[in-house]
Amino acid sequence: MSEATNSKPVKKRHNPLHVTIAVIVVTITCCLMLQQGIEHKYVFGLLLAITLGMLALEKINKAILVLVGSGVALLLAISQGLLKQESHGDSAHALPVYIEMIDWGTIGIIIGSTIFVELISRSGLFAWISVKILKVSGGDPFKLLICFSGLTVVFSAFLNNVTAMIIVGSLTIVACKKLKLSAMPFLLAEGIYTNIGGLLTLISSIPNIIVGTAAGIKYTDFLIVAGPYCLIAFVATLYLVRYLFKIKPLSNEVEKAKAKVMVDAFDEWETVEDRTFFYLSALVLCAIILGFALHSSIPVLNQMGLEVIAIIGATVMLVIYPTDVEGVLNEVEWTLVLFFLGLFTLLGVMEHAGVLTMIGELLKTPLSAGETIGPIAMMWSSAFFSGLTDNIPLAAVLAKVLEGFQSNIAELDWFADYGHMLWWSLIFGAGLGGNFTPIGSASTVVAIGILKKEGHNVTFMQYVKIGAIVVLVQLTLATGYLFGAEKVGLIKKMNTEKASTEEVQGHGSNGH
Amino acid sequence: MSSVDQFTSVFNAASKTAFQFSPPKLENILIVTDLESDAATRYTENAKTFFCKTTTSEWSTVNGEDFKTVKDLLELVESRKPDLIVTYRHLHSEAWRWPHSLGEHLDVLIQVTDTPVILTPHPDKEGIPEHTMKNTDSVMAINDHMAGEDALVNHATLLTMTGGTLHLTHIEDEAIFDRYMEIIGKIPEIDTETARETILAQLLREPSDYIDSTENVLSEKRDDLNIVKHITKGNQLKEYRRTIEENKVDLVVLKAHDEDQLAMSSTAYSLAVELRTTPLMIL
Repeated sequence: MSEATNSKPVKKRHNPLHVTIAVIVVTITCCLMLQQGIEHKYVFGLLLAITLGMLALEKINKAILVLVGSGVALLLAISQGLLKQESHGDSAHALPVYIEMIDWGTIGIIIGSTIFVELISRSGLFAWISVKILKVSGGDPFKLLICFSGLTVVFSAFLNNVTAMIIVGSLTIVACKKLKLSAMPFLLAEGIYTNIGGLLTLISSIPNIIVGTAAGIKYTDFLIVAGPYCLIAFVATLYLVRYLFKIKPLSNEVEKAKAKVMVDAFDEWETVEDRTFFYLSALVLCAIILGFALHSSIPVLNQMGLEVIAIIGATVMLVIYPTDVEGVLNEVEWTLVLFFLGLFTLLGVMEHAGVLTMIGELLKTPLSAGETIGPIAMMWSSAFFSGLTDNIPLAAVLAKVLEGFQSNIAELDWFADYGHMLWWSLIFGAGLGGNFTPIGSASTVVAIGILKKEGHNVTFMQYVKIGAIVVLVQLTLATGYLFGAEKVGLIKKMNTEKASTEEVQGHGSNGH
Repeated sequence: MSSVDQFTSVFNAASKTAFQFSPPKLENILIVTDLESDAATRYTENAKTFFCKTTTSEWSTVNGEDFKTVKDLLELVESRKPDLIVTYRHLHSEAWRWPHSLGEHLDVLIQVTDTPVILTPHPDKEGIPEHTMKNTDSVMAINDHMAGEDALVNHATLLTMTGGTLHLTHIEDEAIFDRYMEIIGKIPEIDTETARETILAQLLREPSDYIDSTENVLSEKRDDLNIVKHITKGNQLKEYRRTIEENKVDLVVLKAHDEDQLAMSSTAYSLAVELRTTPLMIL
């Protein structure tokens, strides 16, 4: 689970007057344009561009911004007769059209996973695992890099990227102080590794959930394709970071022994308050991971989406740990939930207004340029934009565009030929691009925040010099890997009919 | 559990200070007296009896004629390069009768030299407990911050005779603690009761964990020793005195050097001045 929208640890305050004026000006401008007879797709396209542009500037809280944008879009669309209330039974039980636009599966995964992750954190399990892994390193800087990087990948594959960064980053600070090492290379590497871990499974990051479910990719299929790449990228990045930061293993036996004594002095059980709760949490976590992996083979559950596993996991954990239920529920990322409610509504309106079709038409030229150029264009451009701004809206918009192509696959030969590669290119590009700049991913922002607190200031350009090299290497590897994986049959052409059916079954509440 | 600060606290708490066994070498012991030859010999014999069950070192004695001024004493110590100095308060002075200082020679010597100094009761001091200067059956290491004081514990371990008791003592200063709690009580953002309980528990836990680690290591290296830990909060001077008297301690080992100041650390100085009937080893 990853790519939380709380990418800035510092709370931002917008000027309410400026926002109100901006909303009024934009609304009036759109109304006037519509009155002038300008096509809906251009007017709503302008509204989408303004909302996404403001999102990239990060001057206003993302949830507030997207809710305002979707509200204006919804009102304009209804006034123009673009949205009609579809009838589902009697009017008292009819769902408003904007409710149907929301991908409740994604919302369910966010809420469920936040709750069970918070409770498992409280059991001390993650901290316990972290200390155990630290001890494996023996305090040797290079082994420490391997262990912390591995830990980051695994944690970010199953937790929110930010949570993974916070856990491993905190341990890094404490361990490096004790071992008298600079924490900077380790923390920057961990920021990079959260994005690799975020690629590992279908639920490792929100772009994965959005794009993967839209493409109809199963959890295990996702893991089979992304797993080998994550391993390759892990090793390559490891040596790259080692080279860039000149991290050398200890050669002196005395130093090795001294470092070992220092890390052995960590007591992993100090992180655990209640061992029964600890063991139960470990059990539930294993069950949740298995649940996600085997979801499609579990009777009854396979008729519902993956969110049901997250919600069951959360419920079980709340039953086990009834203390401070309100405190746990307060930890739900409501900003993220509201952001998604707004984003899905906004994109739903854009779909009805023909904006997504228009974007699709614009993208058709580069994407249909050939089975090599198309996926490369998709991967590298999505990576570039993910590096500059939040990758969630980007992934959501492009997933909608690709969905549009997929629904017309009979008429689009090129999409039938290599559409599957475009889906994967989007997943890899959106996932890896975050490493490009320090604001490209929430976890890197956290890593740099921790470093700043410890007195190390990393400037934008200092980071880009490292991030750009890392992204170039990772994208080059990903490009080669995807084409190689297709050749050896790891990536298969999608049976769109089957995928769509499964998606509807698996994500009953999905508004696609 | 969702912030860097929370997880950093968890890992800081998990990061223990482990005791590392590294016994010091005390091969060359210098006895510094201001006495005449015969009296100095008697003092030396007493000192040898005191340590005979723990050390097999070379002994040498400095008499009262060998030095007069502080400068003489410092030069003498510098030239002999001993591993340990055994002496007493108020050399070449009558001020030992008034329990208010260590005397100019020791005030300077203790701060200038890195060599450990043992202060025995003054040879003319009366009212010394029966067990004093007989052996090192009961040795106590004390410090304001016990965790991580390997040198202190290693010296105390070395000087505890076979089968003896090693007391490891940490008294958290009540006055300082109460002062901080008073301030916390004025900050609405901090729950005072929680702060009182958790801070005190953590303050006492760190020395306790360190002593546990010491016990584990010494159970392998010196399994003959009986290790007793004394960890509490209170008036430091009173509590240390009480613990020393109750346990009939033969030798107290304490750290006097403070990197932030030129004078002896305050608790060590107070103890060195006031514990005039118990031998002290000052590091």
